[in-house]
Amino acid sequence: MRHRQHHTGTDRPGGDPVDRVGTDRHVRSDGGRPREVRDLPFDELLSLLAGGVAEAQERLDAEAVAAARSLTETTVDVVPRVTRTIDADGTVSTTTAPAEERTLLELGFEPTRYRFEEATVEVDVDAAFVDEGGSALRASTTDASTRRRVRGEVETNARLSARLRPTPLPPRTGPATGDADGPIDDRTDGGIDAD
Amino acid sequence: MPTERWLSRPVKEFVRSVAVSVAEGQEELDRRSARIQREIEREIAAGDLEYDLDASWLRFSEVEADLETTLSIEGEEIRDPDTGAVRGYRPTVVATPLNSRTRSAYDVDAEIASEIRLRIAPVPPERREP
Repeated sequence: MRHRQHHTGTDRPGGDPVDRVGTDRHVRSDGGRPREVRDLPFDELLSLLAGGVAEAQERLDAEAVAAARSLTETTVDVVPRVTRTIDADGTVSTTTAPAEERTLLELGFEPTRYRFEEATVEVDVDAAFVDEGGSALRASTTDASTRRRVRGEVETNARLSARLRPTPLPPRTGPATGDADGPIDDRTDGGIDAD
Repeated sequence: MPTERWLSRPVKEFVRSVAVSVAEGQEELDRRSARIQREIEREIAAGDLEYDLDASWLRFSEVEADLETTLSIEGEEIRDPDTGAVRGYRPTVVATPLNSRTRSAYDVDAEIASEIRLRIAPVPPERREP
């Protein structure tokens, strides 16, 4: 997924304007009317950009949890065993065990999980130092959007590019394993057969 | 609201801003993932979820920041802590972000612009013996 400053979206018909980063209406004020914000601290820029990806991943995880919950709550009747017997005289008889209730999870169904393997956000902004009781670096798109409207060209002096990837879980998040009479592999040294 | 727009500040302030931006962004990512993980653990503990799930954790594998600027060396005052008198000057590299206003007001030639480029990447954790 690549998200650039000049990305434009469309307003939902009959609804409030959609928040769009990099356009004039990227803040929704009270009452649903957008207002323009001149700039923001450079420190907050990455949080703002990555927050969209994080929120989307949060939604994907929530759907996976809901799917897992549904699989544990949905039950079906299954016949666990059918026994076929061949007598000495060649007669075949079939014995069906009583049906038992099983959840979909017990039957092997698993929720499908999705995650962002890679997300890249790249923005061009105007960076400037301002005095806020101590100096601060601020990022602005106002000048760029004004020049785009007036002259059709855009010049910015700063670019921030960030690539997000899933963090691999540490090995010790799972339980230690091992045989009843053998050593316990707690995965702290790479495993029993690490050497 | 900012009351005055400075033109030049030490380069280290730009570097600090980028680093803080990455730190705050990662903190936001971790906070969201931790919230999801806690909700999953609560549902498992309450018996509402009979499936072991882990929340997805995201991190910045790479962050690059580029700033087009002009660089100059200025003297930063060194003051006596007792008297407040100026004892000397410490050379400091300051940056003036280039934009159309800077170029037109100070007639700065874009061809002599400098570029500050930063790249931040995560450090793999060290193995710790139990």
